[in-house]
Amino acid sequence: MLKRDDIDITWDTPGATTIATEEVPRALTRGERLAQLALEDEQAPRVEVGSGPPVIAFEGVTKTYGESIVGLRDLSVSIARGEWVFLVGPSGSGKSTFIKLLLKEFEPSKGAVLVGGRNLGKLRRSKVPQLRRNMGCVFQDFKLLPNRNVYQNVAYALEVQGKPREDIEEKVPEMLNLVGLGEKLERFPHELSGGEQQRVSIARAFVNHPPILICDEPTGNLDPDTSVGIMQLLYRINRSGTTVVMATHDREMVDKMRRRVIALEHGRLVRDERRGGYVEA
Amino acid sequence: MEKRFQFFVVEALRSLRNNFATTVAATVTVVIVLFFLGVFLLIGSLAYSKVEQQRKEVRVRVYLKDRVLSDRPAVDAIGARLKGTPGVKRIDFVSREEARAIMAKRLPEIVATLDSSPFPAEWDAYLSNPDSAKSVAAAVKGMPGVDEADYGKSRTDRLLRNATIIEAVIGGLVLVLAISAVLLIANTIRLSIFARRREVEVMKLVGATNWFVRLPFMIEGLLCGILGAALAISLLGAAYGFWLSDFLKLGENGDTRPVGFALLAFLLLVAGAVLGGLGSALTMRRFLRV
Repeated sequence: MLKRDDIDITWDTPGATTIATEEVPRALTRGERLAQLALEDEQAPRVEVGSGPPVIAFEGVTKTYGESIVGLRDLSVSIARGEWVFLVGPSGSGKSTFIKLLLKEFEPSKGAVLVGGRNLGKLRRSKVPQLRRNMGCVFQDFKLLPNRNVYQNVAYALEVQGKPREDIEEKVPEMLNLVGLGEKLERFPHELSGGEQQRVSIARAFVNHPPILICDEPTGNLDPDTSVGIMQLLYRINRSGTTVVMATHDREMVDKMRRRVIALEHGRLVRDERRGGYVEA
Repeated sequence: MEKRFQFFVVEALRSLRNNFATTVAATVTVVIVLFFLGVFLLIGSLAYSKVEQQRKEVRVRVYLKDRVLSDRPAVDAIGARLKGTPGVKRIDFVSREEARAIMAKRLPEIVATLDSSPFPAEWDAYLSNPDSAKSVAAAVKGMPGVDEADYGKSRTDRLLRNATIIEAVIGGLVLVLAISAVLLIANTIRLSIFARRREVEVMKLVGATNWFVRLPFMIEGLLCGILGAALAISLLGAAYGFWLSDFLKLGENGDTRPVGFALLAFLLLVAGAVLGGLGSALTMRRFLRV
């Protein structure tokens, strides 16, 4: 079983206790705001990237769908604890396959996917919920439960683990305050803007303080300005020691942030740079 | 544990409220299906018991010649032969006087005009299996003192043939109705879960176990099933009190009667609960593979 202790994160990092968005003056362009964000992130105190065993490792992973469709081809990468990784590549390059393999939605055709040192292929199906509780997920389409309000959506992630009610009543409002939605607990998803919905989904993904956060184009449905706020939130989460894997098409963001970039094309790894851009320099 | 269960019931109730239209559709389906099943079971069980009663009444009457009556051993020998034939449950001796008394009940005016009994004495053989009537009659035919062995040939043959057909038709119709009930309800459940498959997907992505997702759905199905069954039973009760009981009484006599209403209500309630609860659980299976 994958235990949180295996990956050991601390949320109470100095400087990372609030994740509320700061109002950035409107006059700045998006690029400038992103650059500012990168700089701010550079300077803020953070949990150092771990040097120990990787949190995520793909070992010669091939995934084919049916006879001829290739999702991933012989991919080997490893991601350290606390690292931030941009997963880039055109549609159909294998980004979604990468994420679905991590969530054990299906098995690789060849090779092994390891999370926290454990081979997912050897993880029994009944343990998959455990695995997913250790990986927060943020999607382009938010994936909120439409019939539940903001509070209930975030609470659900704790309810599935059988957390006692008192615990939930304490943690959920706290988490929603951190993402700046403390005033909107009773709202339903359809009453919120896209950016707000994505904040709810981030709150839900992070309320357990999972060691890994997986984001599949989290800003894909948001306007350029709103997406900066979402990124700010995700950076803060990363600084607290959580490993973040983010698939994205946002060229400007990747270029400004200068973080590790893993580029895929037709299921192959074509580039893996420690401080890369969206396209090869 | 108790708290957990409470949580699931609350979840189920919430979702019943949120998906009100689906709840109504599912419940109404259960009501209609179970109501018709109930009506049919009432009528069908009456017809069935009627047929069974007829079958029980089949007996072989062995008329004795008057001159043999003074010869006890000969009379007893006929009785013993009858008794020894497979398919005979019990035999009765009916003397001439008794035969007259029986007839007197049926046609008092006519019998009253008779001085002595014109009716022959007889052995009546009651059968454990009505299909053996013919062979029982054949066994004693031709024995000294036997005038005639009558099993109501044409009538019994027709009855037995019809009984088999009627029972098969009733059984077949109940089966068809029950199967269509299952399919109709399963389909309604499938539609309602299909409408919420995205929700199920999200639940699983957040780390919910299959049972955590399934249980509220099962409780939902169970509640819809029980509610639907209760409504169907009320409707059936109203119909029963109003005209169905009169209609059924036409066919009732002595020990033929339709299945008791309490038993029927119980059966329908169980059917509703099982169809709803188990149906939901089974239908969930393919949506849980995420």
